[in-house]
Amino acid sequence: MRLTGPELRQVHDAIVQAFSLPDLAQVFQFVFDQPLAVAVNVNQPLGSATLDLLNWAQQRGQLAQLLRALGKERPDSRSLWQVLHSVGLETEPVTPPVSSPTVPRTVEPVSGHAAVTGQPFGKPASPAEVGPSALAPRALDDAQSRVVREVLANFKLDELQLLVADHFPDPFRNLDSFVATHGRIGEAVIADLVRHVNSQHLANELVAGLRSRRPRDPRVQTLAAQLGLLGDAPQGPSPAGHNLSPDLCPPAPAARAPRQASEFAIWLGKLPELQFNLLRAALPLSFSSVPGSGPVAQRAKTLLDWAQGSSGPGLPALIQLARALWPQILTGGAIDAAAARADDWAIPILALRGEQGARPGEGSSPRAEPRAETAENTQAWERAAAALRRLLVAPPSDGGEVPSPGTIHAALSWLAWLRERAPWAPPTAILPMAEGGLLIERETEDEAGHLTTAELSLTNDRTAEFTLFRNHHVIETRLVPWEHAFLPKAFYA
Amino acid sequence: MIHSDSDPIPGQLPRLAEGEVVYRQVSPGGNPVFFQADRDPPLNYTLFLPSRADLDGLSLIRQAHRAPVWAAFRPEQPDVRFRLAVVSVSLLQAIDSEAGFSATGYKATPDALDEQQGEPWAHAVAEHINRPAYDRDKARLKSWAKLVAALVSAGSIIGPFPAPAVNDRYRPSQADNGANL
Repeated sequence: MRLTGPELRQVHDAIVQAFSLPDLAQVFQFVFDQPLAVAVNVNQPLGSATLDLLNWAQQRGQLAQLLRALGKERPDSRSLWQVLHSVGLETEPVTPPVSSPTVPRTVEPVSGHAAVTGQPFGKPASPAEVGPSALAPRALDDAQSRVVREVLANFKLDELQLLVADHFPDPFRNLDSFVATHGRIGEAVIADLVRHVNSQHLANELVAGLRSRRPRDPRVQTLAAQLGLLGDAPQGPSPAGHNLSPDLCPPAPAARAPRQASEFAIWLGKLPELQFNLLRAALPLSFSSVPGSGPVAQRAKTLLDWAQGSSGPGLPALIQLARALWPQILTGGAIDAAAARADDWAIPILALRGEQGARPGEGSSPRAEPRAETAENTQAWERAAAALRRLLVAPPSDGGEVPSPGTIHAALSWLAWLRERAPWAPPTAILPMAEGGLLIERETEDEAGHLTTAELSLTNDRTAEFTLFRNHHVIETRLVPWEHAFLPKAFYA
Repeated sequence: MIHSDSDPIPGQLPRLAEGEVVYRQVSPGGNPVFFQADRDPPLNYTLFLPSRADLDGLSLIRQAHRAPVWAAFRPEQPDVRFRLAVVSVSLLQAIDSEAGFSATGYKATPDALDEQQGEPWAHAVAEHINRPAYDRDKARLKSWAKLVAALVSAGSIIGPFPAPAVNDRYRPSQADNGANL
């Protein structure tokens, strides 16, 4: 049994109305013969625990079993029964016998067809429909992306979050989190979502999600038909019209594959041995096919044949992996420290005097190439600060280490300091540290594909460190002042 | 020379084989709180740095000897739902070379679950990625962690998993060992 997003919300709300956390724990123990704590964190609000429990049961194919047990436990809860009926779980009358605590009759065995097929009870799948996972992963073309943006513009925030949670293989890459970070749905968050879908080739999943929520929208139906989700061959624009421009990160459009493969083979064959071995080492399944030694050109061809063969990951996956290795492979590991030290953040930070001795406000070294802060830069600075302020108000409660308020204030002061010295160079990421703290990061890629990463790490025990990376190698690491006294009021607004 | 633990050196901890695949537990809260839309959110490389408790090396779990649902579980933190980064020992060894390590070691060492379940031990450590080494040579260990994070794609992160139930199989099935790299 698998619920759609809106169904999940209805079921969730009905359970929260009908049960307390101890009641839920009791039902869980009776049904599954285990404490509720094995499934969810019980030290969280009822709403969160309920959602986690529903997801837990859904993942294990035990949702119907759980919902039936909850229904039995509350035979007089009209709202709960209405919801269970609406999701097709029961065929009992919606109005339960209020005066009698009769247990409603269930009509599906626990291991019924829904658990096996993954289809909701009472909603047999149309034989003409094709699941998104049955189709080749792909991106949306420009026109399709535009339509998706128009459709999503009418979604509510929670609807979008449920779509993301339900239809993406793993929201690890933070889609739901950054929806929350934006706080509301606007053009920016929708653009982020569409961009992510295109870069990860999740168009089928997204359009399937849209269909489940906007089944009568003709634009969505057209998109589904174009992608082949209705069981027909894909129509409309060619999948080659994806949004990704670099040559080495496409989803293998068939017409380009031969040329791309031959270019890639030549490029692979010219790699220094160490770099080729690094690429091979990232693909242990290739070991039985690709020798660990010998002329690189020959082994490159073998690797390519293997990748495109039945046991290989395919050319796009190989290219994607090579792209992750790009700086090392392209440069043969050569590191240009001088280029890294010319970074927009490195110049003022490395100019700070001493390691611990610098005072707030110091470090006003000359700016390399002063540029104005663009509207885009302004937005990035403000989004970064807003994300930090939000952490102050609502720290994450997912069990990870939480940055302390002092760390967040220090991060805000660093943002202000950096913005004053390099307004054209906002951060690209802020990350929590495993042991408590924050990383403020600015990563830039030059035209040759070399990466420079300037990073400030601020730990909860009040140490601050600046690290400069070039192609993932450390060029410089040094302690810096914990925070800066100068902090514009705007950062606390 | 690489030994597998089927061929341990007498009196020494069993070494991991080159072809082995290992997990690294990924704690919740590792997601970015901010990133720019025109860049990929980075995988947090600090996940691959030794913590203050990692005196004997960075903890890893051997895919061949512990099922994912158990590999993602810590008895001392039963309520925390970890994800798993999947990575091959050979890739880690290649990164060792890239980061300039001369002496490295990937060895099986028992943890609490191993004590309960017995050999073969599923817990292992990257001996050279330990906290004292980090304090001595931060640049090298940070480079190592950054390279690992760059090469472990988001697609190689699996989970989170529910807390294991008593009837969940501890040793992995073949399907578990096909986990995405």
